[in-house]
Amino acid sequence: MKTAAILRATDFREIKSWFAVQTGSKLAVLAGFILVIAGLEVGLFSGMGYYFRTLAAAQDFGYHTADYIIRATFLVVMWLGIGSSAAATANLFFTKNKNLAYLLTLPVDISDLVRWQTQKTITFNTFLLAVLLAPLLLAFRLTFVGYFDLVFILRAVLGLFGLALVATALGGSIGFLLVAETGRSTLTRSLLHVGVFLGIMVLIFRLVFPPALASLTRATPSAFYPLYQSLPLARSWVPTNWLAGLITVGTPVDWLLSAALVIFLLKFYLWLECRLFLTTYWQVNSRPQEQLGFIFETSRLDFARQTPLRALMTKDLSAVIRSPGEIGYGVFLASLVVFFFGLFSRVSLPAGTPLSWIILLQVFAFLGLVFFTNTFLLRLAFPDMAKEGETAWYLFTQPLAPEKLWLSKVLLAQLLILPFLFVAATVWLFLSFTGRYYLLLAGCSLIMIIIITLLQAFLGLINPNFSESHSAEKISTSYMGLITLVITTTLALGVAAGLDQYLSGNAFGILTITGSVIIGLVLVGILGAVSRSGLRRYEF
Amino acid sequence: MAGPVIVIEHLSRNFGPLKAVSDVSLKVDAGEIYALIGPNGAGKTTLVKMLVGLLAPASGHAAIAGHDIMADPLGAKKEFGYLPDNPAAYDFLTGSEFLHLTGALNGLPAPDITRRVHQLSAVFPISQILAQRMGSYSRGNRQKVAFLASLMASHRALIIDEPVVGLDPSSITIFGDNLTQFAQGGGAVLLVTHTLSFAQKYATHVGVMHQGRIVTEKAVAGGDLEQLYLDQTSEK
Repeated sequence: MKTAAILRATDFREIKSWFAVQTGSKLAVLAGFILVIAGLEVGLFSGMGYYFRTLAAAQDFGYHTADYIIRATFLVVMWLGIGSSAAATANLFFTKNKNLAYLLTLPVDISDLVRWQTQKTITFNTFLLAVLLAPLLLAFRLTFVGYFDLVFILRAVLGLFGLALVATALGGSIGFLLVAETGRSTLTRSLLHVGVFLGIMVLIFRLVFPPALASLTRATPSAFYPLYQSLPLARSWVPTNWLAGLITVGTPVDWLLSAALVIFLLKFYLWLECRLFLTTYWQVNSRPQEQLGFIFETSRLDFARQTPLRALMTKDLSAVIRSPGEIGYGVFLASLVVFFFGLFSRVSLPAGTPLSWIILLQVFAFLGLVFFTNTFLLRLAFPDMAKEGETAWYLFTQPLAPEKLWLSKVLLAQLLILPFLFVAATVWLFLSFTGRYYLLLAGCSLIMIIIITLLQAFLGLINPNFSESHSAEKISTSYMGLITLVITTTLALGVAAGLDQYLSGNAFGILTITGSVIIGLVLVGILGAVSRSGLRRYEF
Repeated sequence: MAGPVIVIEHLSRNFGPLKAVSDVSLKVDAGEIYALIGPNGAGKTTLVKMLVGLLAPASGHAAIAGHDIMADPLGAKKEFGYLPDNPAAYDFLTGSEFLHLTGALNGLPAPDITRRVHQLSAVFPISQILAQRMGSYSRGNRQKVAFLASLMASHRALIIDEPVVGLDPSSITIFGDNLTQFAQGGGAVLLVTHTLSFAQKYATHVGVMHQGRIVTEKAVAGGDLEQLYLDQTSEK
């Protein structure tokens, strides 16, 4: 216990010393992020509140539908949590970790190390889940109960803590077993893992949206309950329902089953980690290094036949596709996109659906697409130049015109975003609420994605955070990352507001959309020029 | 083999109130190996970073083979290879890919790149690790591959910061012999080092830097570098 306390104290000291330098700007960034997150939370809370109030009009049926949404959310979030925990565990072994290597040379009990890592992960995941699900849970509580108190907050925290713990323990165990048993991260194995993850995602999707669900909206009051009870997610044996029950209903059985599940999984995970940690670490580190994390074989990169521009792009692209962490992030985000639009594709619009509801769906889907694009770029394209910090000695002493370097970074961002452009062009064809507005919605999505990609690339080139070059997360959460997020989100909100106006029958909406696009293009021009000339002023 | 390849004139650079480099001038002729020695914090690395274009000088000029590093950076960068004291690499590339990338960025034709990589693979006995990711390399192996990268194109100057820290004795000898060979072929070498025995053995000229200035310069032959260093840098 003493060791774990020392390790925790070291973590706090690291955070403290990080804030000790450039405190003002870091606090400003933190405040900015809190404001952005708070804005998103308020938006989600309002949207969910509006939706739940619509449901509440249908009394008991409405309540059960809302309850179903909470259960479905818990199930999906748990699966995503399992996926990301498994990827994080595998990543821990497949990427260099100097701190871990140092700790393993000290006379520290491995169980202390394991407990410390697990505590950190679960605390962080609980916080993340709280941020993610708080608007949904609060909107549910306020709509159907009318108030929330300390008891509800405690129950919610316990429910989310349980969810984080189950996801971490299950995902971590899977990650360990994958690394220990399958060993290396080759292309075939990586694709197999991704395939299994997405396959289970599809199964969960079918579990959440069984064919019977569609008939529920047309069911008579007498037919509703039998139909509802027959849905897979209404069954009491689904473990995530026990955890969701802590927040929505909270029966003693839910409490008991949740506690048993959490204790069992946590014990199993800690046992597994203590047993496999060192051997897995040794096993991974004693393998020929070229077999680790190589998604594409070495022979595929033929720099010799490439122009300097193409060679630069190939180098940067291989930094993404050869990194298990980046690939894991991409797959995680792809599964979110699949789920998000899969969910929307299941929306059916019965006759008489209010226009305001259809517009809300259209605008929400547009914002969702922009959000995913932005998140993807912020992690994979925005940090591209800042990641050169450690290798600046090489890159900036090669006989390369700065313009070529600039162009390579901008083109790479456009290359990375191609899958999103494809999604933007096609997804609206599969959404029932697109109606006759395909050209408008797809056009706005494509234009915004291109503008946002250019802005992210340019802003990533202005004052890059070279000192954090080893961590894409730290680069994207620096103050330039925040500025990028604010600019791109504001532009997207402008277009969304225009869409809302136009789809509501207000022709002025087209002006709002055009205005936002023009502002975006002007920013593209200005920031493009600034980033290009700024490239000459980097110092190391 | 006459004429200066590396020319530094009145170069200065401050970091806030600290004068890191103050009015430094030096020349390295073709065929020379110039060792810059001095205590930690003397300004050697700052000087080298200005020379290769990683830092902008506050005043003064620096040129490689007649190309001013500020006015004509592209021309200057075509003329030198650079190796820093701790060359972090692209961990996701293999050593071989790194060398090919360097060739491509220097605009060499594909057959030349292949031939050159083949030649350079034999300089150190590391051909078997060139197919591995650089992320798995030891510091010494990273340094060797980075050195080979600096030799990829036909440069007229080599600028090297702490060349031998982390290298095993036989690699130090190979490294030094290659510097000598480069200089004998008409190149100019500027190296910054704390390893006086290496400078004593391979350098033709030496400059002692202290508190941002070059306090003395002389030919190495016959002199005792350790004594020179202590004389010039001990606090009075």
